[in-house]
Amino acid sequence: MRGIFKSFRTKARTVIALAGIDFTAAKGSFVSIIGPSGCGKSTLLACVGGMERPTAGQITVDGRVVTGPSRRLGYVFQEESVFPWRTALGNVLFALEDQGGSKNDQIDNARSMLRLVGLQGFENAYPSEMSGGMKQRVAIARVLAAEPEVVLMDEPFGALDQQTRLMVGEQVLRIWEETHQTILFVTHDIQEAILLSNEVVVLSARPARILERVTVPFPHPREASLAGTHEFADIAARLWHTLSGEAKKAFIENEAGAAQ
Amino acid sequence: MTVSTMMIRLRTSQWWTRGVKTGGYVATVVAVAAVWALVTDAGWISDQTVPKLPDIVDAIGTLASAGEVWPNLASTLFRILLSFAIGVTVGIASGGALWRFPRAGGAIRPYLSAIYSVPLVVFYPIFLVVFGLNDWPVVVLTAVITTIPICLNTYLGLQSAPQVLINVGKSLERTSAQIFRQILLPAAWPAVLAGMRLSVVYGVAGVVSLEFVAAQTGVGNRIQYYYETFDVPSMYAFIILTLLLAGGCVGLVLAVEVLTMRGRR
Repeated sequence: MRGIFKSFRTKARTVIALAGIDFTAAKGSFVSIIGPSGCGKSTLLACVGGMERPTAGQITVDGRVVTGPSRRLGYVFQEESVFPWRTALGNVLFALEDQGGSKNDQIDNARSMLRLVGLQGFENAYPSEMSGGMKQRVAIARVLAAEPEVVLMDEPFGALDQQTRLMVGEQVLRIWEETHQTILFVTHDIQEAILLSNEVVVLSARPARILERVTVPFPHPREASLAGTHEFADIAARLWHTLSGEAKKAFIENEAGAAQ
Repeated sequence: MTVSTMMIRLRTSQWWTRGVKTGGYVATVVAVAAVWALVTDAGWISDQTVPKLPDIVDAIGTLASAGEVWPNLASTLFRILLSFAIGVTVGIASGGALWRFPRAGGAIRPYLSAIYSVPLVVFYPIFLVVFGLNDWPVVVLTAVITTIPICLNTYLGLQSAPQVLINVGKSLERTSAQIFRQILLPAAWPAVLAGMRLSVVYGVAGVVSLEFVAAQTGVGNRIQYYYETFDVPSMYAFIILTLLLAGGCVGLVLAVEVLTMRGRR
């Protein structure tokens, strides 16, 4: 990513959401992006995914400039995004069926993707029969089936309860350990960011700039119990220190905005 | 308890609930028939107002052997199905158009809702002059009414399709046409079905009532005819046949719903 700016025009004023974001994620790495709420994390991800155009700057993935949504930019949305009229298998097949290859190969491929997210045995279940965590895993399987160059996750566990969140988080960790798929992961949860990623990027309050980049040194495979170690606590404290000042700023600004 | 015995218990209990439900439906019909028999046998109501049930059954038999039942049922059913088919086709297409061109749609929609409140029959003379005395005045006029709920509901369904599902289509490089067919239409489908349920009711009511006014065949025409000739059992025979026909038409839509909504909700 090079010098990403994004501004919105509202009726009253122009809001600058992103002010010169400039960074590169290594291929095969798991990078988390955290920042105070409303700072533009999701906007940044939407720009990388081609869902929105940056006002200035350029995003390059694997040497090619991003101009719009594309199969190579896998997107896991925050909201529930599975099709309720398709089974789990049907949802994953959606990523494959307009590609070449025999129907049987596509089904085999979709099945193995469901296995990867731990949903073997639920191929023929409809979303109405699944929990929130299962639906989000189907969405992840659908994204992985498209074989993207980078997977973009926009607070994918935001709508899940704490326990489900941990479970699905571990599942994503296993998937990364197995595939070494490049992942950009937006979250507001510091623990989650440290546990999952190799690198955490901290954004400032709006307009968003990069405040800090922290490398997470823990080796893989990782367990959730990692969160109890001193090193983990140190990194969390450091991130929290950087973030809390910004969070206050964002909070005060929001309050001021609400009071107007 | 193992999982499989649990499943069996669940299934049996499902069958049980379903059996109780069906039993309830049958019991309702039996109860109505019993009250009917009681009231008519006791002579509280004259045979000229409400005939005895066996007389109606006899009348249906006589009419059937005279070759009067099937042709009239068939011509009414044909008119209902044709106007419903037009309603579904034109309704989905025009609902899509309202959604696609929101400004023009906004100008038209209030009038569509307003047509509901106008009794169909007032337009009948015009249509009769245009089409002549055949199936078409009834069919076209009814089709106008069957189209509207499907059109409005299709519009609403498309309008409320979640943006995130459309974004899934975009990120998997679907064209606009593919997104419409593979995502927007299925997302709008429950709303379309709700429109179809209204539409089929309007279709039956429209066809039968227009047959009263001017048609040479059809159950509505027959009810009118036997009313005028004081043949009360035959009149009731066609009223009951009309109820069965209406039930069948509504059942058809419900069957479509059950088949296409499997697993949803």
